[in-house]
Amino acid sequence: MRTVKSYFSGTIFFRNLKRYWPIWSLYTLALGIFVVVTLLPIFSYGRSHYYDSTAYYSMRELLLEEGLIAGRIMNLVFGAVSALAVFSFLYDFKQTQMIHNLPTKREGQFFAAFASGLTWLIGANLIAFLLALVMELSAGYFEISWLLAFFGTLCANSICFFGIATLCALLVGNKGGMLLLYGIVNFGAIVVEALAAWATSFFVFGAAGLWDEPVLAPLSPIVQLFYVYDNLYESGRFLPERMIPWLLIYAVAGLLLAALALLLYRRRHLESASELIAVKPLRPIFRYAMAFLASSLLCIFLLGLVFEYEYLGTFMPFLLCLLAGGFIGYFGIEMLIRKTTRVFKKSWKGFCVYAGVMLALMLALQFDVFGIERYRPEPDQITTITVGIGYYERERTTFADPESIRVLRDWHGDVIAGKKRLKGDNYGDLITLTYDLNGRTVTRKYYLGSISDMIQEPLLSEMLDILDAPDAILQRHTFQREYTERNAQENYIIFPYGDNYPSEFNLTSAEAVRLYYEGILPDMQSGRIGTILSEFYPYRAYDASGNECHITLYLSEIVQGKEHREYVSLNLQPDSVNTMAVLKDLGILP
Amino acid sequence: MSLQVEVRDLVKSFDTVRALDGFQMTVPAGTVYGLVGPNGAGKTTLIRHLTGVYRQDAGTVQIGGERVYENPALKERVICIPDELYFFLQANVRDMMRFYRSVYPRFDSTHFEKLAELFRLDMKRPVRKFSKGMQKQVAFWLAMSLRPELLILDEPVDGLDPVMRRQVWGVISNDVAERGTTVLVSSHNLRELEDVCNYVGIMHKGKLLLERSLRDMRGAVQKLQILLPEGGALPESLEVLHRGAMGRVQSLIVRGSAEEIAEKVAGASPIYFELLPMSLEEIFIYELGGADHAIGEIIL
Repeated sequence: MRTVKSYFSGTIFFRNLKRYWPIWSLYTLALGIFVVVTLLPIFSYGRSHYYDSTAYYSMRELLLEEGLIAGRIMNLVFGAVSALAVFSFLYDFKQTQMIHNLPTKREGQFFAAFASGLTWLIGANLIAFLLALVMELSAGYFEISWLLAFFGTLCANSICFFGIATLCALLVGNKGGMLLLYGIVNFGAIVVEALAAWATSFFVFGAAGLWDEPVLAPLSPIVQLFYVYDNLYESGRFLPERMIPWLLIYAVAGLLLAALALLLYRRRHLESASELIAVKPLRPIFRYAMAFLASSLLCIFLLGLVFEYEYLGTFMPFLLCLLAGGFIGYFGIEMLIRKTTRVFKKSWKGFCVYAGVMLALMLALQFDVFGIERYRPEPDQITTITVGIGYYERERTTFADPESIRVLRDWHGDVIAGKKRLKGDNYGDLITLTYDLNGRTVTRKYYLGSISDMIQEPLLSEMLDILDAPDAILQRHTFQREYTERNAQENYIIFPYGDNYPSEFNLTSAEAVRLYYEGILPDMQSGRIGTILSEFYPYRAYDASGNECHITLYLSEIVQGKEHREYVSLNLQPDSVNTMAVLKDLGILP
Repeated sequence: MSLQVEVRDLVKSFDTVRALDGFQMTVPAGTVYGLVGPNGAGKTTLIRHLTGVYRQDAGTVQIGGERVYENPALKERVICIPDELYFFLQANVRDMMRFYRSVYPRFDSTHFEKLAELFRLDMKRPVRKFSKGMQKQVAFWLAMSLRPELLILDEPVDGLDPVMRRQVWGVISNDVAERGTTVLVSSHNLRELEDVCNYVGIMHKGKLLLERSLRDMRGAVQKLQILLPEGGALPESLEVLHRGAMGRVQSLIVRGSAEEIAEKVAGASPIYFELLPMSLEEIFIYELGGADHAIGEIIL
């Protein structure tokens, strides 16, 4: 006989709410503290304060902006803890038996547990929303749509992470296994990709940049949401709506994973209580994942930290670390799964498969079987090439004209052909080439020893010529905004002169605007400041006595209550005549 | 008001261990059925199938003609006291009572209050702080208040003192008499079940070796002492399972009813002949003929 009661146990639902109150309270408290701390400044910035005109906008943005981060991290933690609590009856056989003796279908137990966990998370989100509402009303600021966006963000995160945690909870048989699996699900894909790219970078010349745009990030919500968050500002405007599709996707994914968890639960063998992995087909995946993780960690620890990168690019030490780490990870997890240390006889074949795959991969990388090292896009495929110099790639210049593309592509071919001659260690100068192939991006990064030592290389010299053309310099260093005496704010210049200690000079708006428009900009237009070599080797610049002279000019403007700051950071060259003239006129240079 | 249990060809394996291997069992409605077997025979595994906790690999488990797995309506009528009890953290007897009352519509609060006089436990004290025996009493108290039609007990009186054992069995017997409740009791000790069961099944290595009503069993094997005249011989038609002698007095275990045996023996004109009462242990020993030395564990 099917009844509503069979599919939802109100008793278990309310029992869970009551039983796990410390967890819910902790989450509510954490959210409450977050709201109070974030919104407290609205009481400090009174209407007479100079910030008054912007406080209203800032506060509503701040709550949402901070909420996007805090909500994500808190739900990552509390989603797991809640799922662990409400599904804990699956991990202790005495409790498993007691609950499953009850006259309730498994759907009833699942929905009661899932609903109780989610109810409290969303209830806490609601309390945080109401608290924020009260605080904003008290301070005289109020806009419901922003607060609802804040509440919606928290709820989407709750559904997403609680859904993921629910699936993890149903796949394992004990709490340790659940936390381990939850970690793997949330970070596994991105860690595997990062580590694979990291290892590849040491063996494949030019592959150092493979992980700049991780393709597996969407499989890791916590990481992907951070990537999205980083792109919420454009031209100084906060665009939270960009987060909405991802939040919706992950909330729906959370619900779908919870539905999958229900299907698994219906088929679950309850005797798996207390076992590490409850679903048998998942065990090999778990073994190999842990083997790879242990391999990677051992490589990082032993080769990266103990031997300080000395053997990272060498075949045998790397392979040995991979195999030793894999051995520890594979048999370690096997011991936990089988609950015995006598696992070698039964599991050695599985480890041999892993060792074989690792060996094959290492050989493939060493001999460039995948053709990553040799690959150079064809000219007709290329839309643009962006060249980045240095580790942080601040000096990126994009070229779309066929002649520049030809020069850069030829240089790329020269680097590939001259690998043995050119390849430096990972402390050498870094040149990055990013090809845009009609929307698809291919990146190669080359550590090339010292560029200054290679300046006589004909193709490098030709490439530097196009990088130091005035148009290229302007592309790298021109301010995005148009500044005038009226809109420029908070201007200053950091100016290390003659020694390593920076001096800071506050400039008036007129002085800062003059320095940029009468000094720096004309010099850039003439190719007399901002050249690649001057950026790399400042000691070659400024004066004959070898004095380094580096300037960083900050300019900012407030638009719609938000400050937008830009800076230009350059080394003075001996021929930067316009800049030096203005600096002398302002009394900064002697 | 009572349920029959039918188990057919039940198979359950855990990795490489076959815990139940084509198990067959019939528990008639309204009987008290003792399931006996040594440790590891598969009793608890069977019980977990009967309560719908485990899903079988093969075979059928039916109670009252219905499949028990994922059948909440049936599970309202079937109550099990497992070997390992679980009570919520910090919950006292009344909390547990409220929980079961809200889950089981058949919960009888009046009966619960009535049983309180028998068990005399502190209702405000967390159940987990009780001794094992007291926790067992709480389990009985709650189980009997649920007014089951099938009561399944896994090693039920472990931890109970002799007085409480008698009282608990008294409550169960009353329930059987008044409401016709079917009771399935598992134990590794046959002696414990002898006085309360009217059906017994012996289980070993995942199979049921034997299943009989006690009445049939007692009627089917007899123990007798006989002194025959010089040159006298036992009738050949007697099916002797065991033979012993002290002097000229022979002790025999013979298959057959008392009347049948007396009739056959009378033909040999014995000087002395007496039928002696047999314990259930003895009957099983001779019936099973030492199927395995482990059988001895459940009897001796």
